[in-house]
Amino acid sequence: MSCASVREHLPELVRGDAPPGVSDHAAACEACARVVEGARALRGDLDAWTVPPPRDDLVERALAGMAMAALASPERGAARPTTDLPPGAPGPLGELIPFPAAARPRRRSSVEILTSAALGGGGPVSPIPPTRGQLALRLVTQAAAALLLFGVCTTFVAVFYPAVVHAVEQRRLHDCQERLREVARAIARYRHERPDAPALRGPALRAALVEGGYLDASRLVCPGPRGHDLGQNSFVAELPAPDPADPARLPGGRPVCWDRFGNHAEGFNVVYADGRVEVVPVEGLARWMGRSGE
Amino acid sequence: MSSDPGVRAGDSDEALVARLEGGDPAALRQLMERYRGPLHGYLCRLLGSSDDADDLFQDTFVRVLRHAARFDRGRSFRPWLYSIATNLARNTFRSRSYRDAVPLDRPDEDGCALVAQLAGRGGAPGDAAERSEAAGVVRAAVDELPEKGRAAVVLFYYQGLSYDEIAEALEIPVGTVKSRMHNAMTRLARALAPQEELP
Repeated sequence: MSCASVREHLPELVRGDAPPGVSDHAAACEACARVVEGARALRGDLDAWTVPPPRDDLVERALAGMAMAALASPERGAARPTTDLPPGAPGPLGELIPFPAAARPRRRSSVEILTSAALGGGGPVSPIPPTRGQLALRLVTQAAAALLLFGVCTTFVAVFYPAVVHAVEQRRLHDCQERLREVARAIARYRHERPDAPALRGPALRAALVEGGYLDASRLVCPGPRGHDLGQNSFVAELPAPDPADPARLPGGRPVCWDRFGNHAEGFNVVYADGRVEVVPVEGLARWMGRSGE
Repeated sequence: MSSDPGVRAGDSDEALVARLEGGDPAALRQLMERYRGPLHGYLCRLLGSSDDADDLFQDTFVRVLRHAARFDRGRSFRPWLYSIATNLARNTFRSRSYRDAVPLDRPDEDGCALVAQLAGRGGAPGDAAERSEAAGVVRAAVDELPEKGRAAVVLFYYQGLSYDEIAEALEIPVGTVKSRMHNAMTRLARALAPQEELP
């Protein structure tokens, strides 16, 4: 290790990961010892420059912002109006909830009832043992009845259960949209009554709306599955800065409140200042963003 | 989200980009969570504003999403990400008068940074003032560096990138990175300790 290479490694000395041999050389060379000492002092100075940690909800906000950008862009293939909610297939929620087990304890007794009725064995037990033919007939009948019952149950579950799950999620989406409209109305009223109020977001805006009597706190909670866990954090709300042209009004096309990413399995609600609500499908976001050019 | 069953915690960045290219939004979230602290800190230091860092964090991942298909699988994701972020920060920096803005961590008239006051960490008030003053001095010294030298210092010292990664992120040769780093460190050492000169 030479003096030149010690100076060459000044950045690593500052960062504290200089190659081995530097300290050995510095111990024997006064000039290099001063370089090492200076690097250590600089490290102390640089460490003093700290930055605030990111918000806890930075990722959620960014994802929400990306969805908003998708909505705001002219290439809005992924966005659907409220009136055009996706029909048919159940979303991921339906796939995540397992179907009830096909074999239920009750079925056996039902089969027995059916077969015994079919074979006329519903009364007292006959003292005469059944013949081979009777036994075979009973077995075949029982098997057929079991198959029939199994088919009926499976069909019933396959047809109706996803539909029920889908309906529940649609209901939640709809309720969420209603709440978002209420939030948008509250924000619009707040701006109308306080045209000089600065831009607000997050807890400050929630407090202003609730404490000012513009909105009941319960309406700030998404009715979706995550609403219970997130509470008032389940929506992201923003009061834009006053428009100099008309400070008492909000620009109609401006989003003022939206769902946290993942509130709903099927989509992502956003309400605009004029009360219009749209839903962006979660799974469509990445594909949409991926195909849109610069 | 970490609880997402679709994303394994051990997935490499490059594997996540591949999944992202396939249209898996869970991979995007995983990448964003992974770089939440480092990338935000980088942007915060470059721009001097936490709110602007929030915005550019989002914009950076919009670019990642859009260009995931163009990502060269043979390369590392981290410098690519910082390259995108650096370019966006550079554009933002040029388009706005950042020099005139008062960042949160720059000392105000009383010599106390707003961040230190807001953070409310332990220690005596005098300590906080000294810390924030020192932070402001460092920031001012780094701000005085040429633009690419500034990004190189932050990437090297605060983000822990290697010379090769910085070269990739800043799209300059490794030798240039080394010389810029050396010059930047020397200038910083002089700016922060003017009474002592490095030999």
